[in-house]
Amino acid sequence: MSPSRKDTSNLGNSEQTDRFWSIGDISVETALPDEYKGTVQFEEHGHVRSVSDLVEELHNLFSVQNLAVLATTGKTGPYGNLIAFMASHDLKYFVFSTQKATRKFGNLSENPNVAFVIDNRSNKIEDFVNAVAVTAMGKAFETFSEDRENLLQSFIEKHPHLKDFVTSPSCALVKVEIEKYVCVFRFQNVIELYPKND
Amino acid sequence: MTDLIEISGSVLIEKDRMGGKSAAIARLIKAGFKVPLSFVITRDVYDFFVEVTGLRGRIFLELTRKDFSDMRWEEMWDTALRIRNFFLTTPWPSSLRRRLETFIRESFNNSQVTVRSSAPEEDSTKTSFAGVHESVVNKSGPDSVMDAIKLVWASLWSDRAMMYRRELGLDFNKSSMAVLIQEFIDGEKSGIFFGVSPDNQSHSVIEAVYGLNQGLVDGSVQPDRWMVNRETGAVESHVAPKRSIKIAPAKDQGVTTLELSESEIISPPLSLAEVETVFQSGQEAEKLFGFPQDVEWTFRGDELIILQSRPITSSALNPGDERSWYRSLKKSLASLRELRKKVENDLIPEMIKVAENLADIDLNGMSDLDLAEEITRRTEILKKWTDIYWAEFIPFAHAVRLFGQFYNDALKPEDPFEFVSLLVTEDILSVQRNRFLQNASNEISRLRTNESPINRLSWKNPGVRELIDDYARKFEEFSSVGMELGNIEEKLLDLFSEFSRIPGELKTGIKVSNRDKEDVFLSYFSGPALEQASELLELARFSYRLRDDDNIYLGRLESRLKAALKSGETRLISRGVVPQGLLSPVEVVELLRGKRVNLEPSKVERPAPLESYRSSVRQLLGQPASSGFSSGVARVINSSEDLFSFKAGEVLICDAVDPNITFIVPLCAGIVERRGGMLIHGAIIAREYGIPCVTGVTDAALAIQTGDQVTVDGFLGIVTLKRN
Repeated sequence: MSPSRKDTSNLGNSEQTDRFWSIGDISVETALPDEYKGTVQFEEHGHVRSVSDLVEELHNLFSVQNLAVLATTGKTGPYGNLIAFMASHDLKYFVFSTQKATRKFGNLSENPNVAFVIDNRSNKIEDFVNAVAVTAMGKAFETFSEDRENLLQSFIEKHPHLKDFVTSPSCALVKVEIEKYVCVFRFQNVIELYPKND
Repeated sequence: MTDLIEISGSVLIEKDRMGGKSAAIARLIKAGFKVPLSFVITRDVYDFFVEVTGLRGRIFLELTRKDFSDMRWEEMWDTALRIRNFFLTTPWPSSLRRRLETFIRESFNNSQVTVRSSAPEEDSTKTSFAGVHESVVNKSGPDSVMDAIKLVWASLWSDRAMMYRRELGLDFNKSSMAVLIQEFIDGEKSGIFFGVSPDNQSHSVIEAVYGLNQGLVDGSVQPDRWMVNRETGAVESHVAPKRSIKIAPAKDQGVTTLELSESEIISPPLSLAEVETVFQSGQEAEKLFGFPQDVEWTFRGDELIILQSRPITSSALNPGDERSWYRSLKKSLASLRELRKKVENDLIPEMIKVAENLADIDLNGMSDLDLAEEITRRTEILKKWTDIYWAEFIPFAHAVRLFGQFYNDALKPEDPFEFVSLLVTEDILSVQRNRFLQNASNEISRLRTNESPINRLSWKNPGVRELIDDYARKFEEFSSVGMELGNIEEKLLDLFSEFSRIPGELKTGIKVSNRDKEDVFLSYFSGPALEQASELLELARFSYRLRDDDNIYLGRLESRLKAALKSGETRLISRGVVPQGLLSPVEVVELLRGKRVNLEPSKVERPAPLESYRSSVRQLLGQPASSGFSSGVARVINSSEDLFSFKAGEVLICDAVDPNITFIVPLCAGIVERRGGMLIHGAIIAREYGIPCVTGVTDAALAIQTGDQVTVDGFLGIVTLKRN
């Protein structure tokens, strides 16, 4: 299933999103003229996208997908597992929850650098054309701050069935500040997306 | 499409949306039967509610924690109570709340109603679900009717309903529920009509009681019973019970039990003419539906009103029908009251007396043949009381469950097991024993400071000797634990020493400061409801105490048997007949009688070790039984010997914490138990001490080894292992 473009009402207008994000390191089959970078609207199934389209597409993908692969780093090397996640409206951060006796929590305590993979593959050959895969990289911290309650509510809104899990005192609510997205479309088209510094 | 429908003569019958019961009511109305004013809230409303609130996912996760085949029915009850609480504590989406409030007000104008389940899978010829789902009687006003709707929805996930579905192989994920709301009829006499008697297929059965038929349905009021010939309509027999009580509407809401008047006691609820009216009506219903019917009815004045009608399932007509068993899982207050009398006044005193009498017998003075006889006798006594335990004591445990539901309905707490803290009282034996141990450990500390700190305390010290003797006297069941241990005093001294190592706040142990909580609970009620609440609390406390104490009394009988066995084994070993102990009772008896016995190499059956599996287990899921999060070194308890190796701060891993071993609980950093349930001894005592506890971990004692580092998450029911 490719991300729908229809339901964008809650996204905010694209001008606003453009101020926060920029495209970089574009690797596409067709060379992209410099003047188009981040500004020009490309056709629907083209190889590159404007920033606002890309943000919109990612937002839709993150809304539809419940699970992501989380990669952490431990003393003995990398470690990966599936987690239920939530992405903020502006895509600036991710939120997930983990029980504190887990390996991933141990890893996060040692090293806050994480990566996520979110995709919409359907386990068919068509995935090589239709599937979108996004790698998100950033730094993870357990939240104790004032906005913890808001993050918790947003997370429960997306995963209401996990309410009992995420509100357990034995679980940490983890916020990840995203530093970079690597987005793969149509097998080998890769676009990187960075948040602009405020 | 509307989802809130009045059932009138012109209504479109859609069984899938309105459920079996409502569809049958619609057909009865169309055919001209007199039925109460009825409305249906279709299954679409249930589906909407569980979808938008996320309940569907939460129920799914709760149900899939553990394989159904691994669950004891107590665990199913716990699961059911959790799900029931999900419904009670999940707020209505505001748009739905407004629609329902308006609907209830406009349909019934604040008059009394009955809220009944009407699941699409109910009331078919194959699956009746009779008595499985909930009905809530005599409610008025949007708030209480809407609470009742949630309770009826939740009954889709009651332990009975889940077991019934599992047995019929129905898909849990497709379960949904419509709700039938009917004008409440305050009938003077009520009953059921069973079109075909399970005992004699040429008869119909009519049962009738004074007042409402709730008492008949739950078994607390004995009905008059008529057998009517299906062909001729002639009354073949009438059996009258000893009439004494009836169920009537309570003043404000709900129902209450009333004494019958003199005239009601001496005359049957129905005249012969009325029996005939009911029979005729039942026959007409059978014609309408094409199957023999199971009808609930009531008389208001001379008018017969049909409350519901469902086909009799084919299995109900076959012997071995288990309907009654499912019903037995739901005990009424009245039947529990009766059971308590029997348990408290007869069974428990008798059990104590039997144990005392056995203790007085001098085993050493007996001949071999007499001792063999005595072992056989004690084996039979233990079996008899074990049977009584299952038949009477376990069902009585339902008082705790009934109280739990009652508490949750009124207080709607976030934690569905909050009510357990109200049940613990000073007079529980294991509480007394643990207090003794705490005091003893303080005494040991005092003695130790008086002695030279270098010398280890000896049990020969007069002060210590006295403590140990005192302990053995007061808590004789301990002897069943320590029987196989030679140096019991040394072991006991070690135990006392461990107790003196645990932090001060734990030593105070169980806090029985329930007075405040009790006041909060009772403040929710007034009038007759307050009386009912007090009685139920008292009944539940007794039931809870019994759950603890009955095991200890049973433990005494077991230790009497062990004493006789030990005596026999000692004789056999000293004569060189057998090399060592641990024989079965039958073997000891046969050998004492001078017969030959082929001895099996080992009596203790343990599953074969699964080496590769063991090393791979990282995390296990059970039920969160006592909240908290802690880590410690695992100590697996396989035998009584292991108990005395227990060190303060370790995590107890065992098959089941029975009351005879709860004395080490205060020493534990956490508890992990194979046996599941929230109301089992380990869970209850862990909650009292505030120790994290996970129960129902199927492979606990297999997967975890003594020495493993274990984290116990009592909030989520997760056990994490780290092997060094």
